Amino acid sequence: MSTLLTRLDELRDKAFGELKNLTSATDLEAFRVKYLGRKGAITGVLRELGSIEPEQRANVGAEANKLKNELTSAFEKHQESLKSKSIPDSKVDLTLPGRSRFLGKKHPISRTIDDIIDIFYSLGFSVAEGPDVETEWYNFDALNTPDDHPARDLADTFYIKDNILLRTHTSPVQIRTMENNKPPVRIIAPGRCYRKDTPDASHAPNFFQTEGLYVDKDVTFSDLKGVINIFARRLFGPEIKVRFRPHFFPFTEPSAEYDFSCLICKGDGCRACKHTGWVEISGAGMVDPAVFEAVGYDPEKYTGYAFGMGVDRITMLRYGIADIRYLYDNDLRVLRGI
Amino acid sequence: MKISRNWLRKIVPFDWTVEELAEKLTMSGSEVESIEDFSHNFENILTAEVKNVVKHPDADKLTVCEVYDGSQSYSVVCGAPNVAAGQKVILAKVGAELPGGLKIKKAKIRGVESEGMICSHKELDLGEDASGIAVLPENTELGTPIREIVGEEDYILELEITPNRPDCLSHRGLAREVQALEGGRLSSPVINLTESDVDASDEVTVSIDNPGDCPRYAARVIKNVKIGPSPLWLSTILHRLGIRSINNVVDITNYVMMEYGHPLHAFDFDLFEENKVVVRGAGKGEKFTTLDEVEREIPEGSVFITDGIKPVALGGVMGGLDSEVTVNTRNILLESAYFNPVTIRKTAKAVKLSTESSQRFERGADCENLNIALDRASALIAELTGGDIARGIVDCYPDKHKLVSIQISASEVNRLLGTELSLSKIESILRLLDINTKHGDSDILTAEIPSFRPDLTRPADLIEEIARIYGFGNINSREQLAGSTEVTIPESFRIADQMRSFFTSAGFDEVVNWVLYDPKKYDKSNLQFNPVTISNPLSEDTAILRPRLWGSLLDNICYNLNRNLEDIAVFEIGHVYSAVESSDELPEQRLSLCLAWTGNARYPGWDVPARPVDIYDLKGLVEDFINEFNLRESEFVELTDDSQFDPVYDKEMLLGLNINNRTVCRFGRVAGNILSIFDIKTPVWIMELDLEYLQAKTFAQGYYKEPPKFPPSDRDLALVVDRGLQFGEIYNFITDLRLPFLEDIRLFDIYTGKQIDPGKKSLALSLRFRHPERTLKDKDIDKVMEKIISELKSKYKLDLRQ
Ligand SMILES: [Zn+2]
Repeated sequence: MSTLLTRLDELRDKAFGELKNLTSATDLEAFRVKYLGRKGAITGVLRELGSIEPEQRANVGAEANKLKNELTSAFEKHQESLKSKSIPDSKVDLTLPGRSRFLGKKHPISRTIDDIIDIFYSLGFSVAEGPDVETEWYNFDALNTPDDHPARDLADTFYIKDNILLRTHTSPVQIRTMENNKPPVRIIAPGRCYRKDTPDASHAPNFFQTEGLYVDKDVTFSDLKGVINIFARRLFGPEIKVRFRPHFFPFTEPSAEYDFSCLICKGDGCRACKHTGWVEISGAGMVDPAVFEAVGYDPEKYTGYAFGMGVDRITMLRYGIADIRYLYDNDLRVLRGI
Repeated sequence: MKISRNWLRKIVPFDWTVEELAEKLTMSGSEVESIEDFSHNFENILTAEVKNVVKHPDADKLTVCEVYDGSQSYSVVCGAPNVAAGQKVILAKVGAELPGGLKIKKAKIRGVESEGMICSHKELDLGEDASGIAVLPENTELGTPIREIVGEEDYILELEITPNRPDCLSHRGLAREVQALEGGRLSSPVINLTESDVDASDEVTVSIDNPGDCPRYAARVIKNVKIGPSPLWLSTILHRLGIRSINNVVDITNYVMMEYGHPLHAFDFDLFEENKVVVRGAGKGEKFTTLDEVEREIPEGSVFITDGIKPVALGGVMGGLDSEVTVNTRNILLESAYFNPVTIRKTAKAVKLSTESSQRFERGADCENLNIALDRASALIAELTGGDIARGIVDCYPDKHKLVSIQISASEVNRLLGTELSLSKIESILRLLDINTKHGDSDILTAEIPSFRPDLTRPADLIEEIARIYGFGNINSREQLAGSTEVTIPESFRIADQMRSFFTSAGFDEVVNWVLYDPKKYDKSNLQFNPVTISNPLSEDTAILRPRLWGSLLDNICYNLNRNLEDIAVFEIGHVYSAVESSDELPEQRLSLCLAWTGNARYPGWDVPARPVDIYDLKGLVEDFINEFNLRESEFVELTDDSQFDPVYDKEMLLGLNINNRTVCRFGRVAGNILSIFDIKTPVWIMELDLEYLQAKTFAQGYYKEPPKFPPSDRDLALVVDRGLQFGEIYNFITDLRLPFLEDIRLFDIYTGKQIDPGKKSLALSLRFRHPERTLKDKDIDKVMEKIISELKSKYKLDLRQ
């Protein structure tokens, strides 16, 4: 019995407390349903009368009905007073923060890879992949980089055991793709690469690259420039400039490195671009005939271009990240802000 | 590779600024990484002689010198320990300003007037040596302004030379590039070679046992040399190019190497036991002490230069300590040889010695023209040391190098480049690179490749030369895409993409971590792993490829907790790796997803109370996941068997999801001993998902189902049962009754408390009934409810709560 009476007391306190603060018609109606409605709290107490000793029922029932009457009249009074009040006072506080769903965010590297795939997919490139742990054949030999070639020194390589290593670039995917497909072949291959570089602002021992390869009849260096230009404009907008510099890679001839104009200083020179106005993106070139021979393509019949793309560097460029290590710190204060 | 703008301009004329020069070299493939300005006016700084040295009256470590510049004497207080009368030195007179900014004024030093300063190399930035004053050769002329010797203005360009261009590791090679870029014509130095009456071939014989590794060995003998310091012009240019000055002979070999790109070596010929040079392959286990005073074990098959008795040099890599040119040397043998690039590379790699010499030989030196570098160096050595050059070159060259010629047509060039170059344009580019060409009436051109371009062997190589000199920037950018092929994306990319969308929508931030991981963290966890181990790791804590993802995610949790974040929900998609038995197979790599969750499941807001994550948050997430991806045949399983149990998790807080009877997902609370490895003090929940399996097997699409036509009827049922009785049992029990019209069973409340027995709990169920073809009547449902209640009552000891 005492429990029901206690509950009535609590209900009284709660209901009168809430009533004072009600300002809108919706709130009033919700209040009415909650306390005074047919399934409301007071009716709820009345329904439980059956479970207590008969001699107590009258007392509790009377208390409940008393509360109901008082609350009803207070409710009606409050309803009236609200109607007479001027509108500004009853305005809903729209400045309160909303209830966020707290969505997560994709990592900037994923977003860059997504965008790279989107752009090249729309240009007719399929996506290909290969293992991170590779054989020397795919990583070096088939790419015209035999053991005695000084170019092997270009990248310090992590080895697992003899002939098995962590790929130093995504180029092995070129070989795997050409081995299994006849021309024409048009792919990009995003993935992780590894080099034994001590971490600093621009180096990490594991990083992301995207490989590109197009082999067909009559593919030219001019097409290579074209596709990189299209990519740069799609990703960074029409203002971006691209330049190609001669370079050396054993698996392309001619070989180039390509730079994008610095987005921070618009080419005037700043610290991020070492005052050159250009930011190096990666290497590219026409597939070396020796590579075609390694995969059984006829270099007389087909030509092709290949390019790499430093995903980390592009990501840093897009989001203004000065140090590659920030990408892998996974500081949520940073990631949630990007 | 460093080059001096002034030296370059002596070989080839150009009137570009240093920035323009750098731009042109960069855009033709020799990337300029930095430009260092060595300009200084050197006013009032000149050569002089120390005539007299007396002790400073008031200071032990100082002397007072009388210094004569050829016309006048100056009294100079000097602190250098090496100063001595008779030395030729550099005097900075009053009014001079040193490169560091120090202004020379008349000053009293401890009471003695000083009218200038005798300079060290370092003080003038003409060398590294700061230990004492610079002592110049005895034959130095007095009174010569330093700026006449070293110039007032010079820039040193540091270039990145690609490994295919050994010729560009020299000033002449880069001058040829300048010529091709339409600077002026390349000129050659006048070599004033005066030979003595002595025949070199009477002084030394040369033989080669291993011509495969050393195809050519040429040498000159220079007698009666006087070893001493290098003149200032020589030591200065070497210093600016980053080479330490040793003595006049060694400096000349380095100077000529920087000029022609051909490494030379000078021996003290008197230290040869016999008057001969025998080139041979190193035998097994032979040891040799190189110039750097390190005794090394030399790999078999390396090239030894010997005197017929003992090795005197590790050919192409470094000379020997025992035949080094020293101040006592009188007669020298000057070597100009050609070594097989592969042999040198193997040796240099094995002995871990990468020298200026080995770098050039392993990229390919100029076999044909090595005698020019030999003559040039001999003439300079004779000039600086007063030595006599014996007549003739002793040249052992058994199989003459075969010159390469390449045929190429304009259409071949244009086919690869997408250009419209004429044959005459191609020809003129090649000629500027000193590649001779000829063609008759045909449109095929024959290019004769000079011996300094070992990189040019095929038409593609020539096309590259044409393209880079023509200018990549001048080739059109063709932006129409030709042809079309079927475009595909691998399933792994698709599934990763779907997962990223799902989990970010569910409130998880994506992280990307290193694959290289710390084996100790996994070792401490007492888990069974078969990690892929790197044989040459960067450091011990990056020595394996991560076998699972949770380590990285716990690192992320720790990192962010330490930065005052409390509610952290992150996930990563990546490969995990495990080693395989077979030695020639690649390790297994599986695509995996892991998420980690700590703090509140729901972020607190102004009217939303906080609530910490628990197992039901994870389970709900997995249920949503099943629903989103239509994972049929899936069921939750309690992983209680020892064989299934995974010690990363708390045993009581672990659940698995089976698909087709295979556990593809586990989730639960991370065990305390694991958290302590990562120094985390709050509970963390993780979920691991085998995407490799999921992508291949299980993703089904949903199909159309007709929505129900008739309304449902809901009935509530509150069961008071023993606390130990699990919901799943009741649920399965009711389901297994296979009752008509029962569509769904939903649990909406669990109550324990005052109103019921302490050993009991109340489960409030909402049962939904529906008939496919008509609206259900109360009595239909009443019958079913009665059946449920009676079955439940007969199976379990339970009460109903109204
Ligand atoms: Zn910039």
